[in-house]
Amino acid sequence: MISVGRGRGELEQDVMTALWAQPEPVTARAVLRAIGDPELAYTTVKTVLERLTRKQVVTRVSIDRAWRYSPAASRDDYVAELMLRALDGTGDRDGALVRFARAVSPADAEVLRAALDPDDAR
Amino acid sequence: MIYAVHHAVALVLAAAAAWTLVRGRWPHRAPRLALLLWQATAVSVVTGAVGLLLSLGLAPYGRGIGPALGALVVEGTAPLTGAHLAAVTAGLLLAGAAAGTQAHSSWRLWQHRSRHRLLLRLVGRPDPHGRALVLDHPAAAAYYLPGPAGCVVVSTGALDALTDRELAAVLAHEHAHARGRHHLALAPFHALRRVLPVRPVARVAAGVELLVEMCADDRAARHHGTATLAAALHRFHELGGRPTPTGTLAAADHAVALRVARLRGAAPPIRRWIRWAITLAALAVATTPASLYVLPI
Repeated sequence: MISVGRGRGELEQDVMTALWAQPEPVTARAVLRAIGDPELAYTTVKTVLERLTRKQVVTRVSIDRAWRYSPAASRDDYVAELMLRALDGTGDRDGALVRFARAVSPADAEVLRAALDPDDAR
Repeated sequence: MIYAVHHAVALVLAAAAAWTLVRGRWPHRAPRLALLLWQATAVSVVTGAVGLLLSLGLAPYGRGIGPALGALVVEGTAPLTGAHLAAVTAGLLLAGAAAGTQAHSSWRLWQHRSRHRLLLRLVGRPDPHGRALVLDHPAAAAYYLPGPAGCVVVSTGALDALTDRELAAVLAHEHAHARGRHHLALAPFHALRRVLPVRPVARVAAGVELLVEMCADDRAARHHGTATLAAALHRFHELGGRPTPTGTLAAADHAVALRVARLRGAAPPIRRWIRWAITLAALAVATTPASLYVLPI
């Protein structure tokens, strides 16, 4: 049931954790060093970073002809986005998931939505 | 013409089924049966409406819809008048619109779910017992995310608010959604609501959603007790239950109140012969218009 958070998920989490710990954009090699797993290949980290960039959760800039990566939003932002998707039963997302019961008032949902606005405009 | 009459009768049957589902009291006593009948009704309305238009348009061929469409392709449109052609075109357009609407809606939901799944991979953590993914957020949430890597998610707010037994009941409720593939049962009604955002459609969709919740409630209550689940629902509801006049929350309030009352009141289950009658009615409602496409009369 819970395949999320295993294998690929764990590596993605490690990469994001490394990126969130850095104040500035960093190279794939710096991410590899930060994770500190000797079994992990550079190309694997590079592939994960490219995939996360395509999925728009990581942004990259070219500095001195090397790609440097940074998270597109903070961890808290992503948690808030998930909570909004989970709690707000209106609009286009409706039906994406099956919730137990609505435990948030529209006003709370509004606060969550406002906090996310730049992200949500996409 | 006899085909058109049969399709019209099937549509009336479907309307009657929908009417008992919306108006009747029995659906809440047998939510799984009611859900089955809703699916049958949805299938019947679409195939019946398309079939009615096609059989009106293809009447001059004097055959079933399938063979008549074949004749239309092979022999050309010679026997048909302009009105006949218009009916055939409308039927084909309606069929295309129904399929297209469902496909578009499924595609949008798939997009939302894959974004959700990605973010869960990045910020979710497995709970110690491996029953769910945990989100670190003070608001209470518990839900099932459908899909190829479907999973049950709870927030730390929900973990804090519920006792261990209540949490087990809530998780069982969500796993019941997963096991019952409830998102598939809801899909056609969400698609319909998306293209036709009018009050009756919204009411029907909300009704089907409520039935799905009741199915999951029944399963969770069987293993963890009705009192535990009702307490969890009540607690969950109170966390967000600030009285507001907006329609959506009022509807949700009403739905939760109905579920709690149903768990606490425990109405007697429906008699066996009535269950069989409803099952047979559902089968008849679903298959009658479809059979008219192929069977010669």
